This record gives sequence, structure tokens and C-alpha cells, in this order.
Amino acid sequence: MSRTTDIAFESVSYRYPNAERAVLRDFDWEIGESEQVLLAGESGSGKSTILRCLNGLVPHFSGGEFGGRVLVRGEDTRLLPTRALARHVGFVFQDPEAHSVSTTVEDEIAFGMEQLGVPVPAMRRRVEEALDLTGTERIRKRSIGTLSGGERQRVAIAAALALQPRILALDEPTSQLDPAGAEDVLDAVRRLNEELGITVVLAEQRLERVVGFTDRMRLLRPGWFDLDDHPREVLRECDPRLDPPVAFLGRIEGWDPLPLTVKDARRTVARLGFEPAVSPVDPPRPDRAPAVVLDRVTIGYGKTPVLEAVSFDVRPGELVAIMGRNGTGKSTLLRALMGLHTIAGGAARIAELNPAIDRTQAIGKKAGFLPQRAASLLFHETVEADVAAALASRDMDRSRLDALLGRFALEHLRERYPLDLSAGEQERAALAVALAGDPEVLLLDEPTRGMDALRKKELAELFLELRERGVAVLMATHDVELVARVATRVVLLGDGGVVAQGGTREVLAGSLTFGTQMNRVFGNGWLTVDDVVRVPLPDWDNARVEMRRSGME
Amino acid sequence: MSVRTIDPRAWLCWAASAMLLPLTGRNPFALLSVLLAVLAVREALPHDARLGWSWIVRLGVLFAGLSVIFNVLTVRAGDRVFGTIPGWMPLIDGDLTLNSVVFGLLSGLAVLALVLIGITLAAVLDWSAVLRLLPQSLTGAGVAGSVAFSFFPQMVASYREIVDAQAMRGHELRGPRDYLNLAPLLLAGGIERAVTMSELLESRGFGGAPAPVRSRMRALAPAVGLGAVCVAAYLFAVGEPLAALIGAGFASCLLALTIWSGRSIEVRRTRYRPLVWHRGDWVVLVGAGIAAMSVLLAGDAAVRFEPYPELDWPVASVPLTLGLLGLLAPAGVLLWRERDRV
Repeated sequence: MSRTTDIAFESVSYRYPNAERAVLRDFDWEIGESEQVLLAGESGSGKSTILRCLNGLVPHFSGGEFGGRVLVRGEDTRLLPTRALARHVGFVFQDPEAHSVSTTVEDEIAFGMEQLGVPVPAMRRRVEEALDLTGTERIRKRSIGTLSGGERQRVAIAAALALQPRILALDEPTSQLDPAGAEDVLDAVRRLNEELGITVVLAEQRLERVVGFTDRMRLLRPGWFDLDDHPREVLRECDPRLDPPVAFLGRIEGWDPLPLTVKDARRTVARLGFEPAVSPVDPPRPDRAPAVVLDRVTIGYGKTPVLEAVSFDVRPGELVAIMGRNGTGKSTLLRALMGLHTIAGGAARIAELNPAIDRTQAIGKKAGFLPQRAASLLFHETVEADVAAALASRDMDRSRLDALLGRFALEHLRERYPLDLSAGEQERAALAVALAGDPEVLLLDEPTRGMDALRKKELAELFLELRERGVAVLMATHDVELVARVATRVVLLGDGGVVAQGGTREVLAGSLTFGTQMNRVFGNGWLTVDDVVRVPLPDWDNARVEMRRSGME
Repeated sequence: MSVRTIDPRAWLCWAASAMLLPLTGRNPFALLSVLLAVLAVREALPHDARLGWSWIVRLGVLFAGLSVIFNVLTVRAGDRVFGTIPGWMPLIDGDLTLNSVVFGLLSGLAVLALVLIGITLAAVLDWSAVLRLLPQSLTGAGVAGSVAFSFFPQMVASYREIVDAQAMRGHELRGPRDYLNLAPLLLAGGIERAVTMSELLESRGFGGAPAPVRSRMRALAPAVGLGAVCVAAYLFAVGEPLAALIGAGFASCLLALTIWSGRSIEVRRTRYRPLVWHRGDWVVLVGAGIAAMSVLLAGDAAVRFEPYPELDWPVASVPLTLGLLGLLAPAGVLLWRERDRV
């Protein structure tokens, strides 16, 4: 290990207890001092495991079989407890909702510093800086229990930043943040790296947010050789479906160098005089009676209103995306439509039922709901039993079970206990449950949170199929690129109500906060790569098979 | 108003004092006094601090009921026979006595009181403040305590999440079988979240730097000390105050050794927001002290009630009842501060 190497993985192999196969096999990696590296790869490829090796959670907490060694600033992680490694490594976990120690935001940020004996004046200064860097100043006095998922994520990042560790490990830190919040946080991380020289190891699924300022990218590919190089080189070699939109467009058009950011793409477009296809427009709304109606709906917690006078509707065949900053009440609105949160004013209807009067069980028979934590929908002994029960609860024939399992690639998992499945498999099982019996309405709460690019693309195909079949879909999300691809309308929440609503292009085009990469490059109504290119996109599944055959992959 | 306005140290003293009687005695008058005092304190809490615990209370009532049944079916002592289970029913055959019913009821009452004290403490206590109070050398106990402390509320959160998800699927919990199906989910979720909590504490450097290598004796001191505390409590509960005192002294020595050896660790924790001890905290502390002293100084008959072998009327001790009124102190402080705020 050289003097400038901060982290070294030396032939690390690791298998979780009771796991059939190792998640890491003879893994070698060196990360230099003050480097900013990105870990990417499909779900289950070992990103989180690698991060957890850095502060010794693997193997000290996980157990299992560990081989090789990890050196962090020259110290062997096997020989030091995690609390000792906390001096070197600040860690931000994937699920911030389960990761708070204190009751208020300020105390949460200060907790780690207190443990490490940071003097009070320095602690106060660092708390202020962390609050500013993560945009959490306005919630500094709030109780952690009252924060939204995104707000908690910011607080978790602030708590890690405040420790000013030499190494910062972040496990999908922006998965729950709104686009502006994600940019703020990543900007803060970049400043810590550039100005304070902190080494940053970041695992992220939304590559478009990070490839522009990453020194190096390691793409984990189980069963294949990993790619470890500058992001431009890695993106040139990897499965094209993983590419951020600007890089994807660059590969289709054969641009060199491959653009990584909107700025790169703009320069290339200007240099080459690239002309996109004709700017598309929003399609007209289906001329059908709405399946979901909100008429001046007011929702709150106790006497504090969260949303006031919200009005919009969703018609069969439409996919309406609810967007807005963290904490604007998106999830609360969905829960209220399912009858799980009191509607304080106005009127709402969902699948011809009134959520203010009708029971959730009755609504659940006609409307599917996919919560943020998909696993909470699964509570039977096997996947098959779960899906069968969902069919039965909607008075549907069990003969449709096999078709449903097949549609979500669950046949081989039918006898498995749902909680033993991987996150991706659980999500597929939960979708099968939510869509059992072909509900006329589907509500989705952040369905792509922590989802890798390939699975996200499969999900997008499913949404388009549901639209074709006339299902009314209402989806709360921060994923702008997904919305641009599948949504027909967007409702933008903010300031306790609806700040904008309309066709997807009408709302997203020109938006500074909710604009897509393509829209930032080309403006007008261009939102996706499909909008921009003049020729149909290649069938990447077939292209990949061809690449494998020819030995390119 | 926040219930956090009462210092966590004061709340801990209050809870310890309130638990003393249900843990050591079965006098119905004293138990009822404690129960009513705890209910009064709960009533003084803000509405949101009282939410979400009703099912645990129901569980407590269920266990209380089970303790009566279990006692009646298994205990054959007592002078008031009200029925007989015939000999062809093995294990439970024999006389059923009113004495066992009374003892079962009182045990149930004690369990209920302990559950209510526990959930009151869980609702009001800022555990992170307690963690900050722990000496560095008791890091392990702090992590274990955090896991235990977070297990129940997190299980409640899991329960709500699952019930909501089931409702969304059009499913309704109907019979015991449905509730039984929930058990593995709740347990798995609770354990997972508890492990997550311990991971988080370690990742945040809880406990600071690792303790320097110590002798085996010193390393064992905290565990032996905490064990001695439990033994002392047990000895007191079974009416051996002298042995309990010796045990407590031994425990104090070991814990003092533990804390003293922890001071040699190079990192001293700092406090971002030092706890401030207010007048109200003194009131709670003094109230808890009076209640505890009244239990410790009351005669055996006032605290312990034995319905075996003869069932007699229990002794009602006026000084003990008056002393237990000290447990009402948090209610008074909360109401006083609420009035000030308005």
C-alpha cells in the first residue's frame, strides 16, 4: 500500500451467512487519497457490501465468511472495531428512516462529534456548516420523527459530514431526495472532496447525477470483469442501458468524446451542429371519466395542514406523476386516497369510492398500492400464497395465478419465503400483489427508489403497458427521467398545494429543478432520448446478445 | 409543550421508584395506588405521546388474565376451595382455591402496572440523552440498551406498516390465525431494525475509541457488577434486605471500578447541549424519592401480601399510600408547565 493510498482491498472475498454464493470474490481495489470514486452496478452486485467493509460493519456485524483484508489509512479493518474506524470513515446508510439515534435534528448531527470528543465551539461551528451544506437549517429544531424520508436523508448526510472524516462512504445518498436537494447534497460532497481533500466513495444508481464530477468509476458486473476507469471510458464499454441520457445519446450518435454532463452535450451539439427530431407535444387527455378525483382536498397532521385545496384528476390510461420537494406531502396524499390518512376538507374519489367514508379494505379491492417499502405488502409464507391471497381478496379466480407469476418472473420463486428474497425480487412480488386482479387504479410511492437502471427500464415498460390497458396510475416520485418517459401528466406540489399541473412536457420543459438532461440540452418539448433521435432506438437486449456472441462484452 | 422538558434522569428515577412496589410486593391497596398514579401521569402527557400504545396495554391485560388462569390451574394451596378438577385430568387435577385466584389477579395487576410504567417511560424518555449519560466504559450496555429500547417502538411501527399494507390489499385481520401470521414478520422486522440501530451507533463512534487492553478481571467487572445489581434486587424482592445490601455494595464497587477504569481512555466525550436540571426535575426527583423511601420503610405487611395458606384482608397502610402520591410529581410538573405556557 503506497503512502497516498487511502483504501486498499486485497483479495477480499465475502459470503453473507447462509448465502449460497459469495458476494465478493478476490476483490482488489485501491483508492487514493482525496480521490472521488463511484461504485455502480446492478442491485445485489456488492456495492453496499464494499462500502460496509470500509468501516468494518463487514465482517464485524454481518458475520459470514471473510477472506483477504481491507486497509483503511493503513489500518486493517479486521483488527479494529467499527467505532474506532468511525474516526476515519463517515458513513451514510441507504435507508435513512432506520438510521437516526437522537430525537432532534441538531442533536442527531452532533451525536457522532460528541462521541469523538470534538470540543464544543468546534462542534457548534460544524453543526452550522453541516446544516447549511445540506439545506437542513430550517428543520434544525424539528423532531426526527416528524421528518419526511428525504429530510431524514439530508440529516443523515449532515451527521456524516459534520464528523469531517478523512473518508466519506455514501450508500445511495440521494435515492430519496428531490432533484434540487440531490444536487445540493452532491455539490456539498464535491466541495468536501475538492476543498478539504476528503476521500469520497459513493454508491449510486442515478449515474446522471454523479458521473460529471467523479474521478473514477468502478462498475461491478457479477460474472463479468469489472470496469474500473474514468467514467467516460466505463460508460463507453458498459451496457448502454446503464448510461445517463446524455451519454446514451452520445453513444447512439457516435459522439467523441462521450458527453457526461449537460454542459458537455451542449458543446458537442453546438460543435457538430446536431439537429434533433421534431419537438414532440403532449398527447390529448383520454376522453373518459376520471378514476381518481381530488376536489379542493385538504390534508394535515393534527391542526397543521400539509396540503390545502388540492384539485386534479386521473383518467383511465393516464399516468399522473406527483412531484415536489421533500416533505411537500406526496406520500401523505397517496395514503389519504387509500383511506389511511384523514381528509380534513374537500372531496375525493378513487375507483368510485370515497376515501373519507369507505374503508381502506374496500378501496384496496379496487385499487392497487405499492408503498415505498415494497416488502410490507408481503406477509404470507410463500410468494405463491401472497399472490394467490391478493387474487382472492379481489374475488379473482386462482387460475390466473400462474400467468401473474410468469409476468413478473416469479415462477422459480413461488415456494420461497418473501422476506428471504432480494430487494428486486421483493419489489416484483409486491407489484404482482398490487396488480393482482387487474385493479382499475394503481398508486405508486417512489417505485424506483434504490432501483438499478436495468430494472427501472423494465418497470417503465410495465407502466407503458398499464397505460395501454387503461389503468389509471398515480405515482409519487423524484425520478424526473422516469416521469419524462412514462407520465402523461405531472402535478407539482409545493407551498402546501398544487403549484403547477398539466401535460408532462408542459410542466417539465424549461423547469430548472425538474428538467431532464435532454430538455436542458435541447429545450422546447424534448424530454427523452427517444424524443431527440430521428431513428428508432436499437433493441438493446438483442444488441447485448450480439455483443456477447462477438466477444465484445 | 414537550414531555422532554423533564430531565431524562428525573424520568428514570421516577420509573425506578414506580417499579419498586410491583416488583417486590402484591399488596392490592399499594398496587392500586401505583397504578392510579401512573395512569394520572399518562393522562398529563400530551395527546401524541399517549398514542399508539393501546395494543400493548391490551397485551398486558391479556397476560394479566393468563396469569390468573395459570395460577388457578397450577396452584393447589389455600384454604378457600371453590371447586375441584377431577383426577382423570392429569397435571391440573386437584382443588381450585380462591387464594390462587386472588394471587393471580394481583400478579396480573403488577404486570399491568409494570407495562404502563414501561410504555410511559418509552413515550417520554429521550433515549439518546440517556446514552450520552452513560459512562464510556458501559458502551456495550448502552448499545444493548438501545437495541432493547428501540425494539418495542420499532415493532409497533412495523405492526402499523404491515396492518396498513394488509388493508391496502383489501385484507382484514380477523382471527387469531391472522395475528399469528404477523408474528414472524414483526419479529424479523424488529430484530432487523434493532441490529441496524447497533450498527448505526458503532458507525457514529458511540463509545469513542476502544478501551485500552485491560486485565481480565477489569474486563469482567461491568458484567459482574450488573449481575450483582440483579442479584441484589432479587434478594430484596424475596425479603432478604441484609443480603441485598451486601450485594448492592459489591455491585457498587465493581461498577465504580468499571467507571474509574473507563476514565483512563483517552477520548472524553463532549456535550453539544448540556442537560439543564430545572426546579421541576427536583420536584420529580423528590417525589420519586419519597415514594421509594415509603416502600422501603413500610412494613412487610403493607408491601407484601400473601394469600397463602390463609386468605385474609390485606393491610392498608396510610403512610405508604401517602408516600406513593410522590409518583404524581411528573403529572404536576407537566400540568404546571402547560399552564405557564398557555
